[in-house]
Amino acid sequence: MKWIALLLCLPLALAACGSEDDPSDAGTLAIEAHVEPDPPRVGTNTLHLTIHDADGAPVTGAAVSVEALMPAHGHGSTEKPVITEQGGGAYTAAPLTLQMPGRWEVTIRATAGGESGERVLRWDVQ
Amino acid sequence: MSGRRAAARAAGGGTDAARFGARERVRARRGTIAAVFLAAALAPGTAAAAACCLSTSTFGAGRLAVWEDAAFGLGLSYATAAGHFDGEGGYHAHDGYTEREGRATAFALVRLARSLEAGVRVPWVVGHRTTNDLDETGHGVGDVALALRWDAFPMGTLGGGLPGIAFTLAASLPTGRAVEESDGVLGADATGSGAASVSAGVSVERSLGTAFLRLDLGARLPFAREVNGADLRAGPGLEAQLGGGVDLGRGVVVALAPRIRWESDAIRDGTRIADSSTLELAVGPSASWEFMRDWTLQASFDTGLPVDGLGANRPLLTTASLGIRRAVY
Repeated sequence: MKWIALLLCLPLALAACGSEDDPSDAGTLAIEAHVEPDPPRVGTNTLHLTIHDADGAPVTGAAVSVEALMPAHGHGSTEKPVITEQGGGAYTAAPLTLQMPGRWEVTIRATAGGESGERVLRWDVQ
Repeated sequence: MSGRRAAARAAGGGTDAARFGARERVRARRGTIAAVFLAAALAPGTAAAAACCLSTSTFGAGRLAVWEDAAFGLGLSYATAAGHFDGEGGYHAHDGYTEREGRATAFALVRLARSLEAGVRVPWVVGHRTTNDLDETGHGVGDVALALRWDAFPMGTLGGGLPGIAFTLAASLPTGRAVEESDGVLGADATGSGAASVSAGVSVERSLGTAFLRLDLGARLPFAREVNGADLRAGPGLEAQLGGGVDLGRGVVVALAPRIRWESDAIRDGTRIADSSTLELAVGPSASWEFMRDWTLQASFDTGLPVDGLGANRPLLTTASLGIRRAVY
């Protein structure tokens, strides 16, 4: 019966292969985020972003991506948000679709002038 | 009734007939029948509901009785999510959000060898989700499941009152529509998980006269798929189910089976995502009725409990199922 025990333990061993995800923000670009409505709801939301460089100056013309993920359910969002630059370092991402209740993780990435930044937001959507 | 079926039934479904008198043989046969229909009745409940987020049960597509060459049927289920558990196990009732799922699952089982059988389940999924300002319905084929079952030690063959032992291998194929392929906002038309998975399990079965006990243990390994440009793999998981049933006579079998399913943290590009493991606990009764020779009706009810700590990162699902099964000899 040893191989049965090994078989049942295999998922645990595989699960231990990955290292812990680092939730901290990364990069030299600072990304401020505000979701509307706050807290976010099931359905469509809008994400308002403001991006600054290391000196605190607003960043224009940045390439921005916003990706929503429901890690525990193994899927992303039904829609990909469109990024619109508002000027003065402000951007909006809409629709930010969170199609069901539960824990969501939203990753925001920005690159501009050879610099980059990343911010991860986590919500338990009711 | 074929000669094989009659002989097998008279022998109590593989039980050593020489050790029993006529009454004991009848009781053992009824216990075996209970085992078969308990397995068949429980399988749809664990596989149903939330197509986008759950996979087929580790325990395959049910099982054949020793005197059966094949079986096929159709199961109908209706599931609803009244709330969900957060990552810390806190329960939250849904407010302004509804999620319902109907499912019609065709299934077939065929004997490949004396102790080896194969099964397939093909679901058709209908989803309905609403929020305060959205109302969506969608449908499509779900994830197809394939299963192999090997009765290594059928009940009665080990002697000494030892239980029967069977091993199962199963695969779930991503034939359904993944969430990211949905045409709607709420993803009501998502009918599949988007990823394949394989699983293996062991079933220990013991007949006690007209009653029956069964323990299923299984492990599931999902494959990775691309989500948002990254390789995402749901956490490998473990599942256990303890079922008990009794044959009430006149072809009626009732059973109760609590189960627990746990998945470890999801993995993205080789990195474990913290606090993404899941836990599901559920319990519910099931019943079957052989209303005419070779034809059986099956019904089951399966639900989690809205109590903090009895789940994590999962919706609280309540599922009702009704099915019909035809045996072939």
